[in-house]
Amino acid sequence: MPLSTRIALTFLASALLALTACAPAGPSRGVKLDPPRSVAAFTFRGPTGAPISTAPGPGQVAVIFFGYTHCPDVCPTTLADWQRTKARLGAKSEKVRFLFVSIDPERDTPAIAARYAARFDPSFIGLSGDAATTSAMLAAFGASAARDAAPTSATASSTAPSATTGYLVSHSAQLFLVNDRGQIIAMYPFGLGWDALAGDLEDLL
Amino acid sequence: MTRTRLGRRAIIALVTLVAVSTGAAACSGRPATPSGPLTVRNAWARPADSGAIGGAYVTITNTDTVSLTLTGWQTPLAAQTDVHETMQMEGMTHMMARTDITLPRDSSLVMAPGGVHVMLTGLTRALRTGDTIPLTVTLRDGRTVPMRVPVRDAATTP
Repeated sequence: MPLSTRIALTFLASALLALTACAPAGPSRGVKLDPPRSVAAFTFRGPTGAPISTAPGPGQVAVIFFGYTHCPDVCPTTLADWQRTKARLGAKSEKVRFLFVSIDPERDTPAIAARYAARFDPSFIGLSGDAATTSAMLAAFGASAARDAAPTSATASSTAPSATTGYLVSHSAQLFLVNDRGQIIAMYPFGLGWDALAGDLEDLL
Repeated sequence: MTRTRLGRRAIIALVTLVAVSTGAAACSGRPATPSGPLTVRNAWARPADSGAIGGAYVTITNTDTVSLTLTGWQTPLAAQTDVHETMQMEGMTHMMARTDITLPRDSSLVMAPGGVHVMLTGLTRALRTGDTIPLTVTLRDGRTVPMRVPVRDAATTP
């Protein structure tokens, strides 16, 4: 093999190695799914009846959270974290679809879910479908939700909820990061910190 | 003479500035109650729609000489007011009612997102950023401690 060919091959191999080293390793701050898990896209109806798909568009990712609008703590905390995340991402946030999916379709109409999410940011999408769609999407993501009969009491002297309390829902509270091939590539447990998601999105986009 | 008058004015202005600064510094800890058995700090509530569920957070320190038990919460702006704690169990988020909370002397109850919080059910009006809502906690000995809770956007709350 001529010396010039040998040098050229060595250069090519080194360049490829360097490229591999530079390639983003994918989400590293959340719980990475390796291999990624394929999930179907689901279609909901918006407040006007127009269909809204959960699938991210080409070149986009979707950040999906299952919650409900009567949720007093975890859900508004999560959506406030999305506000921080979006602010950190700047222009890159246009490549992220933030989707809040209600697990309480009995109380959350499409309009209520949409208004709730938009209260935090007009670009956040709030969805609520029928019970069958909600159950199917939860199952596809390996998430779950269960209505509590009454708030669980830490003490024997707990008061029963009045009619105005309604009910609370126990639910999976992690975030799902879905790529444009319809694969869950990472999950972010509640309490991990908003900067984990923001950092991974910055790396990915 | 004029110089003296100007000098006096400057001194008065300086004293006023120092007094205002001192007052502002005294407010920086944001105690929502000036005295009594409890000291309340870092109070804030989330914006919410009328009829919806609201959430509020406070840090309460027992500044009395004895142990105290918090037994009830009230605001005229909600049909029902409870304290709950968010718990994580087996990947699920649950809510646990905290009905009686005992605070030993000099100890604090620190509420925070993802933990202990005040749940305001059936808001009689919308809570908007910039509002201040009244909240009262009742002690087992019958005393009540009122506090004022500002409504803030969570993303701007440290």
